[in-house]
Amino acid sequence: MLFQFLVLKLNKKIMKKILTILTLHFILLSCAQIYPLNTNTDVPNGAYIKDLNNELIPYEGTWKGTWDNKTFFLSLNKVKKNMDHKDNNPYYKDILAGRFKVLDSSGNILYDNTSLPDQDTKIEGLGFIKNTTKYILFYVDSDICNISGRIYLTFTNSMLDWKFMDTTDIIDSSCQYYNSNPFPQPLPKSIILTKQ
Amino acid sequence: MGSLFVTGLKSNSSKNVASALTAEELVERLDLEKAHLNSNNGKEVFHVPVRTFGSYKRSLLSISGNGNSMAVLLTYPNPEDQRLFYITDLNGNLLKEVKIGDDGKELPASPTSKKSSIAGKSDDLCEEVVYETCSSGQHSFETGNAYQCEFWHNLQGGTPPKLFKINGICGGTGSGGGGTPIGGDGSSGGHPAGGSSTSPVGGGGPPKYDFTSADCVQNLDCENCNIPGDTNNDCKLSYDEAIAFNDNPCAKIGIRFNETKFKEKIAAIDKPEVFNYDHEMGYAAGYPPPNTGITETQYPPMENTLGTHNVTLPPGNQYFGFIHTHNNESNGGYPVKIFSPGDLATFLTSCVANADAHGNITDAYAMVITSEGNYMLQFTGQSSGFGIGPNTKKFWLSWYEREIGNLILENEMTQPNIEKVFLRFLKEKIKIDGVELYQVEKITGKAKKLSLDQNNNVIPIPCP
Repeated sequence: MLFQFLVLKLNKKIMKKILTILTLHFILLSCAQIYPLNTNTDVPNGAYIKDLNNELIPYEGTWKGTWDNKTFFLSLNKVKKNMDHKDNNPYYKDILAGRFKVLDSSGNILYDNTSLPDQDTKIEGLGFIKNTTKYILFYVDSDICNISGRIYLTFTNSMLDWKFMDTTDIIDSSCQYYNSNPFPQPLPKSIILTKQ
Repeated sequence: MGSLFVTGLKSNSSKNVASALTAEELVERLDLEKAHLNSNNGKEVFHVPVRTFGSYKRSLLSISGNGNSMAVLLTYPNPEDQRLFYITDLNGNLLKEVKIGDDGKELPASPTSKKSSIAGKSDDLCEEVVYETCSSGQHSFETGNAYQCEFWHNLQGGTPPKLFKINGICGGTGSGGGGTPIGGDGSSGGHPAGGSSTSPVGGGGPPKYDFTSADCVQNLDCENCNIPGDTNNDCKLSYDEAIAFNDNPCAKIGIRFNETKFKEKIAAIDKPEVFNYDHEMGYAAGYPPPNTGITETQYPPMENTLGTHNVTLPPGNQYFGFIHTHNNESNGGYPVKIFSPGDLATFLTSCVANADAHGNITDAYAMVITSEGNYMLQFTGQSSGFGIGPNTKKFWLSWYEREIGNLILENEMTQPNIEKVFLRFLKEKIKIDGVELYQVEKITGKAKKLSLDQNNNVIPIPCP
């Protein structure tokens, strides 16, 4: 009887220790270091660059504009992006993920990637330029020979001023659109977008 | 007489190579009294010694006919030894090392030609067979009486008849082939049809009294014979020198900046007005097409893709290099004035692969010309099987855009920072041995290799 009591006491002590260790471990795990959104320097593994002030919220939603007899729809939403581009230094960052749809003047769909998952959009936010409200995103289109570019968004009076800078550089004959004339250009160079 | 070697002899303010001299200026440096002129089989062959300040022997060999002409320099490190000589073009590019065997014929390629030339690799490229008579002028392999030469009975008497090939420049325009090879193809036996006959020439006399050593032209008549890669200036290429030369991007860059056409293409686009265009401009560098008689590197323009700012690499697998601009055009953004991931991918998948398949893998290069400086990519690796597919490029772009993006966001888009990001891109993401970045001075072409130390500081190493 006494023996059983001692075993029980001992087990309780061990259980308590295990619980303490597990709790500490859980707390440590859940407390990945958090950095403000304007952090553009190296961060530790597992860090989270977070939109602490909800600066990205006003951009979320669907935006629309017309360009070259085409209608351009841009959908932006805030995503906690797994930034895994650097070996051995993964971290997370709140970014705006972009999807777009382009219709011709008859309403036919020219480009539509609105169903792409959050972690694999063709347009990915980088952040705000220091001390400005200009937000930069980059574009890589694996459906069009990895053409690429940078997008500069300025939010003014409920409208988005969109500027696109092509960074593709060189097209070689391995591209299926090598001989296309004109070459596919899904994105407008400059456009004012209004929220829908 | 000048018409025998007019091509490639344009007047040029920097006359550090023979090709920069006018025909008249070149003639002044030749010993015309010892010249041999031979007209046969529709070809005119002109062989004349060069007056040099050095103890080596050099001669100009010019062959013209069928509407084409070409000229090369033959350099004998030891004027008494007719069996070892180097063939260079008038731009100073080394085309070949020739060793003549005991039978008077060119020996197979030496170990120094381990990395052979385009001409050595491509059987379908044209070549000029040269038959040099023995010193009597009566016997040669062309006429089949080579072994009646007195030389074979008295090895100390006169010079033997010789048979050798000049790869890649037969029927050419005079400035030599596109590669910078050493060593021959070694297939010099037999009696190929055609070819050019010439007689040996002795050493040229001393330079004329009105020339001083300060007037000498680097690859023509200076005290040092200036064979590319000859680092100890003994006018010979040792095995180590040859290997080092073939693996030496600095030497390759220096040679390119000696090429008139290359410099012309750069001058055409290295201009403020071009940087302000809304599209890039550029030229591809291609090996000469086979069986056309064309022997110089070809520089077709890289056409602008209509309505975009991009350029296209021309179709074909002959392109081992390209030169292009990165402009100031930004549409309110921040242009990156160094290579993009797309440039790098094209360099590796097209230029390096084409050079490996059709020439020498170390021929491959890419050049970007910007208002903030010019850069070249060179390759010193051994193979071109990189396995770069569309997904690879996508991941490269993500890395590059996120890291360049950090510079933009922090307002730190300085050229040194951009160089550092690109070098980190090579080191951390690309991880392909042999991809080297060089910063190249405008006009002079002086180059510095840029690399990172352990703390990711950019270390510039000037080319010697």
